[in-house]
Amino acid sequence: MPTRDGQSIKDVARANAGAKSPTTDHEVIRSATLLKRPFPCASVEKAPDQRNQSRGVSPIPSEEFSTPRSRFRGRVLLAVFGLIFALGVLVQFAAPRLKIEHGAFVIPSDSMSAGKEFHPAEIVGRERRMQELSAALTLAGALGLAVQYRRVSVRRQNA
Amino acid sequence: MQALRRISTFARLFAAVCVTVVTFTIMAHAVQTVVTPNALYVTYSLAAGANSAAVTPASSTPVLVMGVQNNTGYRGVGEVTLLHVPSSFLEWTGIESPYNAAITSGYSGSAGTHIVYLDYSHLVDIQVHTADTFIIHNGNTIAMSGHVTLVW
Repeated sequence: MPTRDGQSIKDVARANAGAKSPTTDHEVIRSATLLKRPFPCASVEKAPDQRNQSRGVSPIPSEEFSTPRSRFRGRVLLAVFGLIFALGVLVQFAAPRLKIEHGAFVIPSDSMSAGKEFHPAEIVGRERRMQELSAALTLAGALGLAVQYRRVSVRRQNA
Repeated sequence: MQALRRISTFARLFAAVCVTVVTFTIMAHAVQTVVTPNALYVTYSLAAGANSAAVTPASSTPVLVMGVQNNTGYRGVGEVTLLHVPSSFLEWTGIESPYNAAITSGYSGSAGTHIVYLDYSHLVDIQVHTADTFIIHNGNTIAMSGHVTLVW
C-alpha cells in the first residue's frame, strides 16, 4: 500500500487497526513493526479499487485523504487554485482588450480625437503581457481545480 | 437528501463547464493576441482644419506608417518609414500620395513639419507634432476620414 511518510503509515495503521485489532490509540506503534506487518485492509481496499477501475478512474489511495490534515490541505489548495483562476479572469478584464482586425490591433476611433496622445508600442505590449499573464493564471487555476476536484470525487467514490 | 445530492452534482458540473468555457475563451484570445504582429490599425475622421491625437511611434526601430484617404474625389494613399529618436526628432522616408507621388524624406522635431500626404489633393497629411510624436492634419474645408496602419 503506497504511503508517503511515517506519519501517514501510523495514521493508516491506527485507523485500520482500530477496526480489526485490539490496538488502541494510546499504544505506541513502532514504524519498523508496521513496515514488516502486512496491512489487514488490503483485502478491504480491493473492492473500491476494482470499482474505480471499472469506472475508468485511476485508483488513488483513500488514506491520502483520510487525515483531517490532508483534507484541510486539499481545501486550501482548492481555495488557492480558485483564487488563481479568479485572478486570471480579473487580469483579462483589466487588459486593454484591443480588437484585432486585418491582422492588426485596432484603436477605437474615439482615441484619435485631438488633444490626446497614445503610444502604440506600449499599448500593444501591455495588451500582450496582460493576455499572457491572464492565460497562464487561468490555465493554471483551471488545471489545479480539475486535479483537486478529481481527487475529491475519487475520495467520495472510495468512501 | 437525494435531491440535495443531485443539486450538488449538477452545481459542480455547471461550475466545471463554466470554468472550462472561460478558460478556453481566455486562451483563444491570448493566442490570437500573441500571434498578431506588431501592427496598429487606426481610423480617423477629422473635421475641417482639425488634428488627430498625437501618436508616439516606437523608438529606435523602423516604423512603417501607411495611410489611405477614403473621401470620394480625394482618395489617395501614402506611406513612410519612420525613425523615432526619443526627445530629439523624427526621421522619415517614403512616397507621397498621388497625384504627384514624389519621394518624401527628412527629419525634424519642429511642430507642423510635413511628413507625407494621404489624399489626392494633398490636403490631408501627417505632420510632426513634437520631437516624439506626429499627428494627422486635415487642411481641407470639409471633414475627411481614412485609415492609418503602423507596423513596427
